[in-house]
Formats: sequence, structure tokens, C-alpha cells
Amino acid sequence: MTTTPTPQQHLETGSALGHSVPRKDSAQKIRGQVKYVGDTEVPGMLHGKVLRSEIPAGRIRSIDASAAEAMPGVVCVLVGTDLLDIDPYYGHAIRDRPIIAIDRVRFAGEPVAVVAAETEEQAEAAVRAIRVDYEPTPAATDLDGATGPGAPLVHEEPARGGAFHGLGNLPERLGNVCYRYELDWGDLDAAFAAADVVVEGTFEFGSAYQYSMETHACIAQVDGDEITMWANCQHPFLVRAEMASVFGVPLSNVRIIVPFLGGGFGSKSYTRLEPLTIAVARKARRPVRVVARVDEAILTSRQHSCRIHLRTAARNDGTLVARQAVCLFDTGAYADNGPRVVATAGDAAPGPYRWEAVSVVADCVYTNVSPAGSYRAFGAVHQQWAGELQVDEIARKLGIDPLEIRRRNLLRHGEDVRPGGKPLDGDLIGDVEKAAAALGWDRPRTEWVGRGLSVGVLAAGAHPVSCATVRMEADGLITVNCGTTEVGQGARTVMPQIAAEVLGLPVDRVRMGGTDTRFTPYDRSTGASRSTTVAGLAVQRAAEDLRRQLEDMAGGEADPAEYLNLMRGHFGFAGGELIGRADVHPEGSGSYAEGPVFWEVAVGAAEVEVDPDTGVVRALRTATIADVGRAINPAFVERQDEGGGIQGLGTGLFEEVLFDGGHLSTETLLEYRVPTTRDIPREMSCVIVENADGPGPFGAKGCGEGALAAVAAALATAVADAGVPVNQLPLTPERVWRAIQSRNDKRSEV
Amino acid sequence: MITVEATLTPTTLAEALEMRAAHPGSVPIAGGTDLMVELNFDRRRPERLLDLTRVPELAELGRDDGAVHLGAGVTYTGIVERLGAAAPALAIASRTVGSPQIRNRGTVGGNLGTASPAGDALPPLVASGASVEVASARGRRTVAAADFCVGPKRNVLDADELIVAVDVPAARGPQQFAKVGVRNAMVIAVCSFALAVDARSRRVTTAIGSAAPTVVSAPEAEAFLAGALDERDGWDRPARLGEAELARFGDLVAAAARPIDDVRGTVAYRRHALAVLARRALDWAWTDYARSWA
Repeated sequence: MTTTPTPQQHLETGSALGHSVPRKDSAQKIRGQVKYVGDTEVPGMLHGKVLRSEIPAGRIRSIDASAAEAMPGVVCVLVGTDLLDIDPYYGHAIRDRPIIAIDRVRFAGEPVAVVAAETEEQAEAAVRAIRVDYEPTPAATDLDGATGPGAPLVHEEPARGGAFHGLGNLPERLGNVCYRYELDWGDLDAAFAAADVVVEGTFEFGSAYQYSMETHACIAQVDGDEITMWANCQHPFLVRAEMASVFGVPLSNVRIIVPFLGGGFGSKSYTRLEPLTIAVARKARRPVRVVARVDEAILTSRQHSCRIHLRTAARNDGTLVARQAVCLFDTGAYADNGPRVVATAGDAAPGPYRWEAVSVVADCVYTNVSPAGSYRAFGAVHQQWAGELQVDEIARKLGIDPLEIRRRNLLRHGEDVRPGGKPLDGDLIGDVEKAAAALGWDRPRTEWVGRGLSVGVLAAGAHPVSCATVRMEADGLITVNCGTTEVGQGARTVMPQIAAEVLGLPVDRVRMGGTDTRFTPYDRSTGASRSTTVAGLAVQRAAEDLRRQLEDMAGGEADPAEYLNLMRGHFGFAGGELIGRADVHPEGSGSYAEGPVFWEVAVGAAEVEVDPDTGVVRALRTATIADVGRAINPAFVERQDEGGGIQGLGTGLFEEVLFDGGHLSTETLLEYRVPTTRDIPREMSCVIVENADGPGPFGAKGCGEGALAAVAAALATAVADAGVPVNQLPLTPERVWRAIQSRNDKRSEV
Repeated sequence: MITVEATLTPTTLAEALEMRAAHPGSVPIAGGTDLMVELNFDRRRPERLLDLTRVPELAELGRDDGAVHLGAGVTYTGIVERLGAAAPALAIASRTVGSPQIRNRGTVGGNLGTASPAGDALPPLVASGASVEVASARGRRTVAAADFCVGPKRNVLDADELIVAVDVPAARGPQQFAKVGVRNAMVIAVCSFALAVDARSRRVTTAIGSAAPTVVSAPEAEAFLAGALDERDGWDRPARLGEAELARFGDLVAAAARPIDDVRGTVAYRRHALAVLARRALDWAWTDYARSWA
């Protein structure tokens, strides 16, 4: 591993590892010069518009598209029966979702037909002219409706595992439960029986929408058995494999070109609009572009809502001894990434404390609403607030300071987070102390102002497979080829920083472009805080491979100033090129059970003010800990924590996707409320912790997701500290007011 | 996606009214902050838009005879910048509308045209006794702001009429506006409340938003307050109101509302929050009166 350069070396080489190198793409983005998929045009391209189901559950008796097909500019209308020559189901975890509805619909908003026309207006007009005759069937539109006796089944066919489920053998479905994750250790009953204090409660977590400014978009072109797409995927290589399988073409015949993404946050993880765009392009025999509206994007992916029944036991001295969690996750009409979300949530449910006994059962439940998938910090954000509220409840009962009870019980470096898998690789006690200090934990308090802490860990890194090449051309400029998607996180700046550091070159001599799966080396996915850690390690190794080639040419140390002369000497003229290559692959079996690649730290603190009359909560200050091992670019680390923290604020206070009888009722950004600048706390501090304990380049590990879970949970613990424990997120004024009322009622009874 | 066949672009009020009469299916557009949402979601497909932004009469803002003459096309930003003293409740409410971009486009005329009970400008207009000037090629008429809306998204306009202006009596005492939403900006009110103190006629008038099919006033609360103030010579020897009086006033305001359960809030919370808003608005306004208007 390369040693840390001295400050003098930074000045000499300008490579600036550990320095806040400005984003390479910011000027281009600010000037509006970046082309996103929705700006991209392909010769002969048509526009696709989607007809969506108006009912949450039912059979399709018939579809009459004849009037639509006859309308001006319309080239074709794709309906379910057009898909019967292929195996038209997809789903990386469970292969349960048709490209568009075939014989039945399972949620209001499910694609039922797609029109391809010369203009968007013509396509929209034709969508309105399609007549669908539905036979409504009973719908299970929420967890109660899906789990009670006699609940209608969302899926009746046997479950089929998807290509990337990574969940071991897929168990039999239990009613609408498509996946169950269990985690147990110790003797739970004995631990609860012997405990001095037991707290118990049911917690309701509302579904958020990932809200990236750019919605889902895809252009597909089908030539024989060659499929080319321009798509805003976070995981183009996984989408490529899934589309090859669904459309029955060789893997390498599917080509996905990924430009910049206008944000993703998990909404663009795995397969989204790609299959229906390919299917309509296949029928039209021309390229087709489909761009989702905001309401369609909400219907395409959202966060899971969940209900958690949680019990926690402790001894009088403040030792936490046991925790039991029974969780139901609403995954909507298709499993999507639900099984992984539920497994990650199951791992996060105990919280990183030293338990004698733990029992977690987490169910992924089908319902007749739009599917839920990945959203930043999934699993951790669902569990952390509930678990941390109970830690504080115990602390209050025992008269122990919340910081102190965490100091006594948090896992230390090297202790098992769960039996099997990687032990804790961070310093949680140091982290929570830093968060408390940043917030001013010991400052005097005033009435209706609360302060809260929260600590969690998040299984991060996903499956550790990334390949990279680093190419030096005859002008001495370096190109990093790496399949990480630039989704706004700064990958196209950080990867060049890593290569520049290894090669001893200024960072402006190194560049990185977007992904084209035909030419860009394989990378599993952009998510789970893995890019810098896993893909970055591949880039570091590829740059080292290139450096070794130069050293071989030099017969020893290669001076960066001599690189071009070395190349010329090697090739005998001013031509040729050098390519360093490397990969990262799992050590051991590579299974999730042995993972994660690292435990992402989710530690934060918040101070809130509660209006006791109206229940309005104002976030005054937040602090988050970016425990990143090594900050390759400190400004990016801070921006990651700020972005995650603001999304945590939204999850904690405002944001909720709501359905009414299965119909989306928050379909605009007025009713679906992301935080605005007026809601941002006046102080948001991010403390960067660099213990060089990560598995990535130079000891780095990922960040950016933890802050979301940490801030949402710290807001909940802070509101509880102000005197109002609320078992429901988001903490809307009405919910907080009701909690105040019920507290006052209890007091007046006493 | 917007599919409108044609847009009419009158440059005088007379021309606008002729076009309105000739094309009853046309939909007037000023700032477009409500209408464009409807069009983008394909909830409406008007055959024509009647673009009012080029009509100078609608952009007028003047004062005469103790009233503010506010053209229907004046934006919220214009109100915030110019009417802070003459129409304080309207200015406070305007400051809470949408985002800066929406305040730069949105108009009071649009709020009245849309006739949503959640329109932020409407409670201040009702509380301050404003009237709405309406015109058609047939002539002009004036409607009290309190009578203008007749139901959710329904108003008294005939098919050939346009809203020309709002006449707001200049404030003769402190005014307040307050609302509760789920976030701080860009939010449709869960409920809102406006109040105007008239030091000359010695009346306090009220209006409730987002908690009935139209904006309504709270006459019982007004009568209670009038009685309480008379009893202790409150107008001439003003002092801060007591907790019990404020609470009673708040409860009477809440009782005047006819809220519903919807995605933004429940009946119980709306009534409760209204009581809080009314109590606070009265406390602020009356304290202000006691300090500087008596």
C-alpha cells in the first residue's frame, strides 16, 4: 500500500490526496452543458409514453388500442400480449415482475401499455385513447390488508429467484411474505426474564421517495439480437445481464451507455424503465426514448415503509442485555430490492451494542401499491431510530445520560456485530463522543428544546467485484476506466485523485468518463457506499500495475517527469500506450454472510425545538460523523454528509409517500415534501474521522449513507428528549401534537 | 405535456373581455402557478388560454380614498414589497406563499380564480373586508371577498367575466396572518388564520383558511371579543389580553371551522391548530394595538 505523501509531495505533484480538489464536472454542470439521458437524441428516435393502471388489483379483460394506433404519429402500441415470445419477467431478487402488465395488474400506476410516436405530444394523446377493460379484484393496499386472515394474495404463482438475489435458497412464500430474514443468538427468554428493565413498543416508519432531480430515463435501440441503451442506471452491468436474460440475447450483445446522472440515491439501482423501453423499441423497430414524470418516478421506486415491534432489556446498572425485533416491510407489488433491504434491516435491528441475546424476524411483504426498492441507508434508516429511542427510554428510566449509556454498551473495534461476518471495523465510542461534542452536549438546556444522539452501523460495500484500467497515452495523459457511475458523488474526480496519487502526477493530468459497458471494465454497482472503497481500490491497483510497467522500463524507480521518455524508449517512437489493469474480488467465499466489505458508521446528533401548541418541530442543529478511514477528498465527504443529513431531515420530519386505497396521493413535489432551504438547520457540522481502518484505497471506506440514518434517528431521540417520544416517522406536527396530548392525558390521570 | 391549441394575447382590458366573451372555453392565465400544474398533469385540457400578462390595467397598484386598488395581476412579490403598511395581513400571507419563484409569478387574482380554501391570500382579504372588482364586456360589478368563493374551486364568476382588481381597505390597526404547514416553505397550509384590528370602527374581524369549503369568518369569536373589550373599556385603555380570553377566542374560531380529514391533516388537528393560531394572532395583534395604536 502506498504510504501517505508528505505535504511537500502534494505541492510538487499536485495530486492532492486528502485535499479538496474541485469537482472536475462542476463548471460543465453549472453551465447546463451536461447532457443527461433526457437530453440525448438518437437518429430516428421515437418518444414513448406509458399507460398506467387505474386500479390497484385486477384482471385485464381486454385492451383496445386500435384508436390509439390510428392516431397521427403513432408507430406502435406495446401491450402485454406482445411479450409472449420471451420470458417477460424480471427482478434481480425475485423474478416476479412482468415488463408491463400481462393478464393482471398489481398496483395503481403499473405500466399496462406503451405508445411509441414521433413526438411526445402524439404519444400522450394516444395513451389517452387506449381503452382497458379491468375486472377489479380485492386489493391488499397496506400491511394490515396484506397480512390479516383471508388477505388477497398479490402473487399466486410460485416464486422464482432472480439472477442476483444473493440470499441463499429462496424459501417458500408465506401468504404475501416473499422473504423472511432471521437473526438469533443467545437465550432470549432467559435474558428478558433476568433483566431489570424492559421497554416495548411498536414503531411505524413512513415510506420516502428518493427524489433525485433527474427522473428515470432510457433510450433503447434494438438491431436483431443487439440491444443498445442510453440509460441513467446506477448499476449498468447488472441491468445488462438481466436484460440479456429476459430478451434472450448474449450478455455482451447488450450495451448500456451511462452519461452523468442527476442523482439516484438508490432510485436508479437495478432495473427500472429499461425492459419496457427495449420492448417497445423492439416492436417499433426504431429507437425509443422514455422519460418519467415525477409522479411516474415515484411509482417506479420508493423507500419501504415498515412496522417494527421492538423490545429491549437492560440491567439496573445500564447494561443492555437483550433485544427482540419483529418487523414487517411493505415492498409493494413486486419484490424489487425488498429482500436485500429486509436482510440489511435485520442486521441493523439489534444496533451495535453488546447483547447477550438477540432475536430478529423481518418479513418482506407484498402489497398492492407501487414497488419499494433501495434508498440511501436502507435497513439502517428503518431500524436505527426505533432502537435508539428504546436505548434512551432505558437511560431515562435508569437516570443515565444518553451518552454514558452508549459509552458503556457500544461495541468496540474487533467485536462481532453479529455472529459470522466481519467484526466491527470502526470506533463507535469515539465517534459518538465527537458527535456529542460537536453539538455541545453539555450546554445548558431550555424547555422544549431537545438533544438527541444516535448510533448505528450499516452493512456496506455490496458484493466486492470491480475491475479497472488506467491508460497512459502518448501525450502522457491518463484515463481511468472504471464502471462506477457519476451520480453526483464525485466519482469522476475521486478516481483520478487516486490514480494521480499512485502515479505521482498532478490530478489535472488524469480524467475519467462515463460508462459504456462495451468498453468500460466491469463494476458490480454504484451504491452501498462502495465506489471509493471497492472501485477505488481497483483503480489504485490498476494505477500500481501501470506504475510497475514504467518501473520495469526504468529498471527501478520511475520518475514521473520521465514517463514519456520511458514510453518512447519502449515503443521506439511517440506512439503506443500503456494500460494498467486490476480487479477486486471477494476473498473467502464472497457470500454476503461473510460480508460486509465494511460496516458503514451511522452516528449523529441533533438539537430540535418543539412548539408544544402546534407540534411543529424545528431542527436547530445537527452533527454527523464521517468515519471514512481516509478522506480522499474532504470537501466531498462533507457534502456527502450534508446531503445525507438533509435527506435524514426529510425522512425525520416531512417526507412521506402516501396512498389512498392504493392510489398515490402525494404525486407532486408540493404534496410530497422534501426539505427546502428554509428547513435546513442553522448549523450542520460534519466531523471527519480518519483512522485508516477501511478496506479501500489508502485505508478509505465509504460514507454518505450513514448520515441519513443517523440524522433521522437523532431527530427522533431529540424530540423525545424535549419530552415527546413519538413512535412514528416522519414527525409531522399532527403526530407530535397527538403525542403531547396523550402524554398530558397520562399526566392528568396520575 | 401541454397540448393547448391556441393562446389569446390581449393587450388591453377591453380586448381581453371581448376575447373572454367570444371564447367561453378559454381559461385565463396570469402567473400560471396553479394552472400549469393542472395542465402538466392533464387534469384540464382547455381549448384556449387567455394570457392576461400583457394587460396593463391588471398590473395597476394604487391607493385612493383609504383603499388599496390592487390589480389582479400584481404578484405576491409586488405585494410584499409595496403593501407591508397598507395591507399587513395580506403582505404577511404573501410572504408565506410558495417559493421566491412562485411569489414572482403568482397573483392574488389567480388565488381568487382558483378559489381554493387553502389560497393563502384569501383569509387576509376576507378579514380586512376587501372587495373584488369583476368585469365583462357587459359591464362591471363588485363582490365582497367573503362572498366571492362559493365552494372548493368554485367562485361567482360568470363565463364571460374576468377578475380585474381587489380593493383592500387600508389597514386601520394591526393585522396578522398565521398558518401551519408540514414544512417551512412551499407548503399548502394545513390551516391558516387572518385577523384585522380596526381601531376606528373598533372591530376585530377574522377569517379562517383551509378548514371549510371556502374561507369563512368566525362571527361568534368576533362577538365574544367585542363584548370582552367593551366590558373593560379595552379600546381606550388597552392591556394585554388574559390567557382565558385568548383561549376562549381561539376555541370559538376553531368552532367556526368545518374542516375535513385529508392527506394534510385531520379534523381534530385542524381545529386544534386553528385555536392555537387564532390565540397567537390575537395576542400579537392586540399587544401591538396596545403598544402603538390606542
